[in-house]
Amino acid sequence: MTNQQEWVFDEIDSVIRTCCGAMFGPERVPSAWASPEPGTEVRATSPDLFSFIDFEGPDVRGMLVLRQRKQDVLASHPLPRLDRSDADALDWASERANQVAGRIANRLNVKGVSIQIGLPATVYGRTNDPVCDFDPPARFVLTYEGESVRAYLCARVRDPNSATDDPPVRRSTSEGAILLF
Amino acid sequence: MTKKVLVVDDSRSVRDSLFELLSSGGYDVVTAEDGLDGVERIERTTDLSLVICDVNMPRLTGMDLLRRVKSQPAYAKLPILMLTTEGRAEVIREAKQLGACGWIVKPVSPNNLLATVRKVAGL
Repeated sequence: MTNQQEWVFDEIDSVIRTCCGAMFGPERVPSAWASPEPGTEVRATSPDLFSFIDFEGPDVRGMLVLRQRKQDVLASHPLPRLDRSDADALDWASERANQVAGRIANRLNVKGVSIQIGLPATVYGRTNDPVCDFDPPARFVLTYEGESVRAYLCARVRDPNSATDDPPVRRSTSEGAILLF
Repeated sequence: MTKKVLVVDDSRSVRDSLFELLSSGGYDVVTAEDGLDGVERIERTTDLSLVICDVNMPRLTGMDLLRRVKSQPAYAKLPILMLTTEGRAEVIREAKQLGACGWIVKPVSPNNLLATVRKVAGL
Protein backbone atom coordinates (compact mmCIF):
# COMPACT_ATOMS: atom_id res chain seq x y z
CA MET A 1 0.00 0.00 0.00
CA THR A 2 1.35 3.44 -0.91
CA ASN A 3 1.75 6.36 1.44
CA GLN A 4 -1.20 8.12 -0.15
CA GLN A 5 -3.44 5.11 0.33
CA GLU A 6 -2.24 4.73 3.90
CA TRP A 7 -3.05 8.40 4.46
CA VAL A 8 -6.62 7.98 3.23
CA PHE A 9 -7.13 4.90 5.39
CA ASP A 10 -5.67 6.65 8.41
CA GLU A 11 -8.02 9.59 7.85
CA ILE A 12 -11.00 7.26 7.56
CA ASP A 13 -9.91 5.34 10.66
CA SER A 14 -9.56 8.55 12.63
CA VAL A 15 -12.88 9.92 11.46
CA ILE A 16 -14.79 6.71 12.20
CA ARG A 17 -13.32 6.63 15.70
CA THR A 18 -14.38 10.25 16.29
CA CYS A 19 -17.85 9.74 14.85
CA CYS A 20 -18.58 6.54 16.75
CA GLY A 21 -17.39 8.27 19.90
CA ALA A 22 -19.72 11.18 19.24
CA MET A 23 -22.68 8.92 18.53
CA PHE A 24 -22.24 6.17 21.06
CA GLY A 25 -20.22 7.75 23.84
CA PRO A 26 -16.50 8.50 23.97
CA GLU A 27 -15.98 6.14 26.89
CA ARG A 28 -16.69 3.25 24.54
CA VAL A 29 -14.09 4.13 21.96
CA PRO A 30 -11.28 1.60 22.22
CA SER A 31 -7.81 2.75 23.07
CA ALA A 32 -6.31 0.46 20.47
CA TRP A 33 -7.53 -0.68 17.12
CA ALA A 34 -7.24 -4.21 15.91
CA SER A 35 -7.91 -6.24 12.83
CA PRO A 36 -10.10 -9.28 13.35
CA GLU A 37 -8.20 -12.52 13.56
CA PRO A 38 -8.98 -14.88 10.70
CA GLY A 39 -11.47 -17.50 11.72
CA THR A 40 -12.53 -15.67 14.83
CA GLU A 41 -16.18 -16.35 15.43
CA VAL A 42 -18.29 -13.86 17.29
CA ARG A 43 -21.61 -15.50 18.02
CA ALA A 44 -24.13 -13.42 19.90
CA THR A 45 -26.57 -14.98 22.33
CA SER A 46 -29.36 -13.09 20.60
CA PRO A 47 -29.49 -11.75 17.04
CA ASP A 48 -27.70 -8.47 16.53
CA LEU A 49 -28.57 -5.74 14.07
CA PHE A 50 -26.18 -5.34 11.15
CA SER A 51 -26.45 -2.08 9.22
CA PHE A 52 -24.65 -1.83 5.90
CA ILE A 53 -23.93 1.44 4.11
CA ASP A 54 -22.06 1.70 0.83
CA PHE A 55 -19.97 4.75 0.14
CA GLU A 56 -18.19 5.93 -2.95
CA GLY A 57 -16.14 8.87 -4.09
CA PRO A 58 -13.30 9.76 -6.43
CA ASP A 59 -10.67 8.63 -3.90
CA VAL A 60 -12.24 5.71 -2.12
CA ARG A 61 -15.18 3.34 -2.17
CA GLY A 62 -16.32 0.69 0.23
CA MET A 63 -18.77 -0.27 2.89
CA LEU A 64 -19.30 0.58 6.52
CA VAL A 65 -20.98 -1.99 8.74
CA LEU A 66 -22.32 -1.28 12.19
CA ARG A 67 -23.24 -4.15 14.46
CA GLN A 68 -25.56 -3.10 17.26
CA ARG A 69 -27.53 -4.87 19.96
CA LYS A 70 -31.29 -4.59 19.74
CA GLN A 71 -31.72 -3.49 23.34
CA ASP A 72 -29.18 -0.69 22.91
CA VAL A 73 -30.81 0.48 19.71
CA LEU A 74 -34.25 0.61 21.28
CA ALA A 75 -32.91 2.30 24.41
CA SER A 76 -31.61 5.13 22.25
CA HIS A 77 -34.86 5.54 20.30
CA PRO A 78 -36.09 9.16 20.35
CA LEU A 79 -39.56 7.99 21.44
CA PRO A 80 -38.82 5.30 24.02
CA ARG A 81 -41.66 2.84 24.54
CA LEU A 82 -41.77 -0.64 25.95
CA ASP A 83 -43.74 -2.12 23.08
CA ARG A 84 -41.25 -1.36 20.34
CA SER A 85 -41.15 -4.03 17.67
CA ASP A 86 -38.35 -5.68 15.70
CA ALA A 87 -39.30 -3.41 12.79
CA ASP A 88 -38.78 -0.36 15.02
CA ALA A 89 -35.32 -1.62 15.94
CA LEU A 90 -34.43 -2.20 12.28
CA ASP A 91 -35.60 1.27 11.33
CA TRP A 92 -33.82 3.10 14.13
CA ALA A 93 -30.63 1.08 13.68
CA SER A 94 -30.61 2.16 10.03
CA GLU A 95 -31.11 5.79 11.01
CA ARG A 96 -28.28 5.61 13.56
CA ALA A 97 -26.02 4.08 10.94
CA ASN A 98 -27.09 6.79 8.51
CA GLN A 99 -26.17 9.47 11.02
CA VAL A 100 -22.76 7.90 11.69
CA ALA A 101 -22.08 7.61 7.96
CA GLY A 102 -23.20 11.20 7.44
CA ARG A 103 -20.80 12.45 10.09
CA ILE A 104 -18.01 10.43 8.52
CA ALA A 105 -18.75 11.81 5.06
CA ASN A 106 -18.85 15.39 6.31
CA ARG A 107 -15.58 15.10 8.19
CA LEU A 108 -13.81 13.33 5.36
CA ASN A 109 -15.00 16.03 3.00
CA VAL A 110 -13.25 18.66 5.07
CA LYS A 111 -10.07 16.60 4.76
CA GLY A 112 -10.39 16.53 1.00
CA VAL A 113 -11.77 12.97 0.74
CA SER A 114 -15.20 13.24 -0.84
CA ILE A 115 -17.65 10.37 -0.51
CA GLN A 116 -21.32 9.94 -1.14
CA ILE A 117 -23.13 7.52 1.13
CA GLY A 118 -25.82 5.11 0.06
CA LEU A 119 -28.99 4.06 1.77
CA PRO A 120 -28.53 1.97 4.90
CA ALA A 121 -29.82 -1.59 4.94
CA THR A 122 -30.24 -3.36 8.26
CA VAL A 123 -30.81 -7.03 8.96
CA TYR A 124 -30.84 -9.26 11.99
CA GLY A 125 -27.96 -11.67 12.20
CA ARG A 126 -26.25 -14.06 14.55
CA THR A 127 -23.36 -14.85 12.27
CA ASN A 128 -19.65 -14.17 12.25
CA ASP A 129 -18.29 -10.70 11.76
CA PRO A 130 -18.71 -9.48 8.20
CA VAL A 131 -16.02 -10.34 5.71
CA CYS A 132 -14.37 -7.93 3.31
CA ASP A 133 -13.86 -9.51 -0.10
CA PHE A 134 -12.00 -6.70 -1.83
CA ASP A 135 -8.69 -7.55 -3.40
CA PRO A 136 -5.60 -5.68 -2.24
CA PRO A 137 -5.06 -2.83 -1.63
CA ALA A 138 -8.32 -3.08 0.26
CA ARG A 139 -8.13 -3.30 4.00
CA PHE A 140 -10.57 -4.75 6.46
CA VAL A 141 -10.32 -2.99 9.76
CA LEU A 142 -12.15 -3.63 12.96
CA THR A 143 -12.50 0.02 13.74
CA TYR A 144 -14.51 -0.01 16.87
CA GLU A 145 -15.40 -2.53 19.48
CA GLY A 146 -17.41 -1.39 22.44
CA GLU A 147 -20.05 -2.92 24.61
CA SER A 148 -22.84 -2.18 22.20
CA VAL A 149 -21.46 -1.30 18.80
CA ARG A 150 -18.89 -2.70 16.45
CA ALA A 151 -17.97 -0.80 13.33
CA TYR A 152 -16.29 -2.42 10.37
CA LEU A 153 -14.77 -0.78 7.37
CA CYS A 154 -14.13 -2.38 4.03
CA ALA A 155 -12.63 0.07 1.57
CA ARG A 156 -10.58 0.38 -1.56
CA VAL A 157 -8.51 3.48 -2.10
CA ARG A 158 -7.87 4.76 -5.60
CA ASP A 159 -4.42 4.26 -7.01
CA PRO A 160 -2.64 7.53 -6.19
CA ASN A 161 -0.73 7.33 -9.47
CA SER A 162 -3.97 8.22 -11.22
CA ALA A 163 -4.40 11.30 -9.06
CA THR A 164 -4.19 14.57 -10.90
CA ASP A 165 -4.12 17.01 -8.00
CA ASP A 166 -3.60 17.27 -4.31
CA PRO A 167 -6.83 16.77 -2.34
CA PRO A 168 -8.73 20.05 -2.50
CA VAL A 169 -9.88 21.68 0.70
CA ARG A 170 -13.66 21.50 0.87
CA ARG A 171 -16.27 22.77 3.26
CA SER A 172 -18.86 20.89 5.22
CA THR A 173 -21.53 21.92 7.66
CA SER A 174 -21.42 20.11 10.96
CA GLU A 175 -24.15 18.28 12.87
CA GLY A 176 -26.87 20.38 14.45
CA ALA A 177 -26.20 23.33 12.16
CA ILE A 178 -29.25 25.24 10.96
CA LEU A 179 -28.93 27.36 7.84
CA LEU A 180 -31.83 29.49 6.68
CA PHE A 181 -31.58 30.94 3.16
CA MET B 1 -55.98 28.25 11.88
CA THR B 2 -53.51 25.45 12.60
CA LYS B 3 -50.52 25.40 10.28
CA LYS B 4 -49.96 22.17 8.37
CA VAL B 5 -46.45 20.70 8.06
CA LEU B 6 -45.45 17.79 5.82
CA VAL B 7 -42.58 15.59 7.03
CA VAL B 8 -40.85 13.52 4.33
CA ASP B 9 -38.41 10.92 5.64
CA ASP B 10 -37.87 7.24 4.88
CA SER B 11 -37.19 6.48 8.54
CA ARG B 12 -40.38 5.78 10.46
CA SER B 13 -38.55 6.60 13.69
CA VAL B 14 -37.72 10.06 12.38
CA ARG B 15 -41.24 10.61 11.04
CA ASP B 16 -42.78 9.54 14.34
CA SER B 17 -40.47 11.68 16.46
CA LEU B 18 -41.06 14.74 14.26
CA PHE B 19 -44.78 14.05 14.34
CA GLU B 20 -44.71 14.07 18.14
CA LEU B 21 -42.51 17.15 18.35
CA LEU B 22 -44.44 19.27 15.85
CA SER B 23 -47.85 18.15 17.09
CA SER B 24 -46.89 19.12 20.61
CA GLY B 25 -45.76 22.45 19.15
CA GLY B 26 -49.23 23.13 17.81
CA TYR B 27 -48.88 22.02 14.20
CA ASP B 28 -51.03 19.74 12.10
CA VAL B 29 -48.55 17.16 10.82
CA VAL B 30 -48.78 14.87 7.81
CA THR B 31 -46.06 12.48 6.72
CA ALA B 32 -44.65 10.84 3.60
CA GLU B 33 -42.23 7.95 3.50
CA ASP B 34 -40.02 8.92 0.55
CA GLY B 35 -39.60 11.61 -2.08
CA LEU B 36 -42.17 10.23 -4.48
CA ASP B 37 -44.74 9.90 -1.73
CA GLY B 38 -43.81 13.43 -0.70
CA VAL B 39 -44.42 14.92 -4.15
CA GLU B 40 -47.79 13.19 -4.33
CA ARG B 41 -48.69 14.45 -0.88
CA ILE B 42 -47.70 18.01 -1.78
CA GLU B 43 -49.80 17.89 -4.95
CA ARG B 44 -52.82 16.55 -3.03
CA THR B 45 -52.61 19.04 -0.17
CA THR B 46 -53.61 22.64 -0.70
CA ASP B 47 -52.84 24.23 2.65
CA LEU B 48 -49.26 23.22 3.48
CA SER B 49 -47.27 25.83 5.39
CA LEU B 50 -43.97 23.95 5.35
CA VAL B 51 -42.28 20.79 4.07
CA ILE B 52 -39.47 19.21 6.09
CA CYS B 53 -37.59 16.85 3.83
CA ASP B 54 -34.80 14.30 4.18
CA VAL B 55 -32.27 14.02 1.34
CA ASN B 56 -31.06 10.43 1.17
CA MET B 57 -34.22 8.43 0.40
CA PRO B 58 -35.26 5.56 -1.88
CA ARG B 59 -37.36 6.00 -5.04
CA LEU B 60 -36.92 9.79 -5.12
CA THR B 61 -34.31 11.74 -3.19
CA GLY B 62 -34.98 14.95 -1.34
CA MET B 63 -33.02 16.90 -3.94
CA ASP B 64 -35.18 15.42 -6.69
CA LEU B 65 -38.30 16.28 -4.72
CA LEU B 66 -37.04 19.83 -4.46
CA ARG B 67 -36.33 19.93 -8.18
CA ARG B 68 -39.77 18.58 -9.13
CA VAL B 69 -41.77 20.69 -6.73
CA LYS B 70 -39.97 23.96 -7.31
CA SER B 71 -40.23 23.56 -11.08
CA GLN B 72 -43.97 24.08 -10.67
CA PRO B 73 -44.95 27.75 -10.27
CA ALA B 74 -47.75 26.79 -7.89
CA TYR B 75 -45.17 25.82 -5.27
CA ALA B 76 -42.71 28.66 -5.77
CA LYS B 77 -43.52 30.07 -2.34
CA LEU B 78 -43.90 26.76 -0.47
CA PRO B 79 -41.06 26.65 2.10
CA ILE B 80 -39.06 23.41 1.94
CA LEU B 81 -36.60 22.82 4.76
CA MET B 82 -34.05 20.06 4.25
CA LEU B 83 -33.24 17.90 7.30
CA THR B 84 -30.39 15.49 6.61
CA THR B 85 -27.02 14.09 7.65
CA GLU B 86 -25.54 15.57 4.46
CA GLY B 87 -23.36 18.59 5.12
CA ARG B 88 -21.28 19.14 1.98
CA ALA B 89 -21.25 22.78 1.01
CA GLU B 90 -21.75 22.12 -2.68
CA VAL B 91 -24.92 20.10 -2.03
CA ILE B 92 -26.30 22.77 0.31
CA ARG B 93 -25.54 25.41 -2.30
CA GLU B 94 -27.42 23.40 -4.91
CA ALA B 95 -30.44 23.06 -2.62
CA LYS B 96 -30.46 26.81 -2.09
CA GLN B 97 -30.35 27.38 -5.84
CA LEU B 98 -33.21 24.93 -6.32
CA GLY B 99 -35.35 26.87 -3.89
CA ALA B 100 -34.99 25.26 -0.45
CA CYS B 101 -35.61 27.69 2.39
CA GLY B 102 -33.08 26.13 4.72
CA TRP B 103 -30.80 23.23 5.60
CA ILE B 104 -30.47 21.41 8.91
CA VAL B 105 -27.81 18.80 9.57
CA LYS B 106 -28.95 15.86 11.73
CA PRO B 107 -28.91 15.25 14.58
CA VAL B 108 -30.48 18.47 15.78
CA SER B 109 -31.97 19.31 19.15
CA PRO B 110 -35.79 19.22 19.24
CA ASN B 111 -35.96 22.73 20.69
CA ASN B 112 -33.81 24.18 17.93
CA LEU B 113 -35.81 22.39 15.28
CA LEU B 114 -39.12 23.60 16.69
CA ALA B 115 -37.80 27.14 16.92
CA THR B 116 -36.73 26.99 13.29
CA VAL B 117 -40.12 25.67 12.18
CA ARG B 118 -41.79 28.54 14.04
CA LYS B 119 -39.47 31.00 12.37
CA VAL B 120 -40.18 29.66 8.89
CA ALA B 121 -43.83 28.63 9.11
CA GLY B 122 -45.09 30.77 11.95
CA LEU B 123 -47.49 29.37 14.51
